[in-house]
Amino acid sequence: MEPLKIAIMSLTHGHTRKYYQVLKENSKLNWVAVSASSKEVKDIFLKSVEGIPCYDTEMEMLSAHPEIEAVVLASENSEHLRQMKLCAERGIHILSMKIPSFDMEEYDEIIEATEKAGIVCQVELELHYNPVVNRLKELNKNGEIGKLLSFQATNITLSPVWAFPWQGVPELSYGKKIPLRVGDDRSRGGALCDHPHIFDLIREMTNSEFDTIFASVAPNIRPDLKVEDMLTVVGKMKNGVIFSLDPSWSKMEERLKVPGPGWEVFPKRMEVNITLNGEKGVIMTDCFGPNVYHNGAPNDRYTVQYTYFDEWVGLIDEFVDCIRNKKTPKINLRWNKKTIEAMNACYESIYTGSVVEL
Amino acid sequence: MDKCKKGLEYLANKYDISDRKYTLCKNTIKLEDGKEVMLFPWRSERRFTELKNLITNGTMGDISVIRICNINHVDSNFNSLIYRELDLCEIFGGSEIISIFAVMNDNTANIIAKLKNDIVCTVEIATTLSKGADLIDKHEIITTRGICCDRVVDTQVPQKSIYVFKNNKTPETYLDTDFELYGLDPNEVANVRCAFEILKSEKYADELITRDKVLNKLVEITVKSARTSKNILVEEEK
Repeated sequence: MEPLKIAIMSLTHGHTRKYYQVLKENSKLNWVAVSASSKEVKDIFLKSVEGIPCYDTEMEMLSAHPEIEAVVLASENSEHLRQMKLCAERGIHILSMKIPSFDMEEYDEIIEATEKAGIVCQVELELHYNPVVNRLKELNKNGEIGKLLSFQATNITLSPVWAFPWQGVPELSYGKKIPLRVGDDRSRGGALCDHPHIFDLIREMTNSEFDTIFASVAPNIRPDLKVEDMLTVVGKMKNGVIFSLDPSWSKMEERLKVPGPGWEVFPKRMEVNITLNGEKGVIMTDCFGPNVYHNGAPNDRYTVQYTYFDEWVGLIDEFVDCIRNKKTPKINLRWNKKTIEAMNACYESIYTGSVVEL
Repeated sequence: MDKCKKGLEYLANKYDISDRKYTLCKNTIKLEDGKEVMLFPWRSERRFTELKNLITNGTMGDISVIRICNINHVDSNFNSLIYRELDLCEIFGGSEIISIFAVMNDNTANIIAKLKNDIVCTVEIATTLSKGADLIDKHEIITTRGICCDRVVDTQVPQKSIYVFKNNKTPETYLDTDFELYGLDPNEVANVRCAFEILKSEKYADELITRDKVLNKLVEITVKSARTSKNILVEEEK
């Protein structure tokens, strides 16, 4: 099979660096180029990767490399519609970061543009390629604990805003500036926008859709942020399964400009733990554990050194398979739309203080 | 074994080395040129790779002590555990073992191995676990800048990713560590990954063949030390 000629567009998303290794090592890929949206991210890229041309604009890159077949769209959320249309016009397949858009009209425009162009648009929800999640889904599907009663999950991390400032700017992260509540000086666009995974997994694992959602925002643990960093969500699925979801930035961090060693203050910077209660028992899951641990450089703090997790390998394999064999990705735009609607419902619930019915 | 063979075949196909001819056995891989190479699966375990990285990339300081414990099943090969852990001592320590003192009592052994660079390694081995019990091991490296370890603080036994609590008092547990080799347990994954590395590199295969001889000698010295109650210098046994 001819290697897929792939590029990265923008380099501003926090997940960008996760792709460097897999794009270089996967023999099904030919990593052609990247485009940077600023000098700052270009400099960071050039220090990290050798041998891949880095262009100052996406147009410059596309003109220089008409052979590009697919892109990893690693930009802030507010750029997605424009860039996806650009790709669609050129028949370039897209691996989108986890939030295509929070604006549902924009979202439909993206669906229309990509479907009309006949391109693959896969949404990067990498937990589907995590072996622990795979096992959990299998146990659940096999009815190990009988009928599911409740689903509790955390998707809690440090805040990436110091390295990726757009994640703290409502217009770039959420797409527009909407206050969290009347009189609240914070706006939508923070931790919730960073953590769609558990809103997605619950839909697959309950085989149901959201029915009611109640969300509550808490005081920020980083008072200088103008977006939410702590919130909690409870509700019910249409099949009766109740849930509690925590998509906060509750792990404190050092305010590094470039992610690297010493980023975390709390030992584990990212956690996705899922508890399922069923009629016949309980399943408890740590999707990112166990690991190895140290208290070495640079800050001599006890730290989790993530050890086993390489979701990007399976994710890219599926992306290539979908393109070469004309398949629809599991996490496609239409499937993902209901996940985004549920996240918007959280913001609506926070704003109104009421339960939202979907 | 079939699962491992399929796993290796998958990796060989995916990473374009499917033209290599081989026979995968339980503890070895036979290559096309007739060489039979002992598998060193622990060298392909990512927890050990991460620990080694922490040492070599400057996260940790200079090593003082390496503390290892390995409690295995009653029917497991006792000497092979010594073999494995002495190999890890040299890998983590970045130096060769120059002396060994060991005490043994039936299927238990406590060993002090000294490396050429002065690092002291303590290795505690036992094959006392009931068949079927979860294996217990721990690798702790104590340095001038702190400790790195493959077990989390405040725990005595290895943790799992998934616990299923049903009717039994003890939960069923799962540890899945490799998406490409999903369905294989961590030991099988390590075996397949090691075999894959050997297939990829003839140089690595030769390195392991040499290493096997060195480690067999170190195991022999360990047993002799326990028998004679003497601290044995490796150099004198060559």
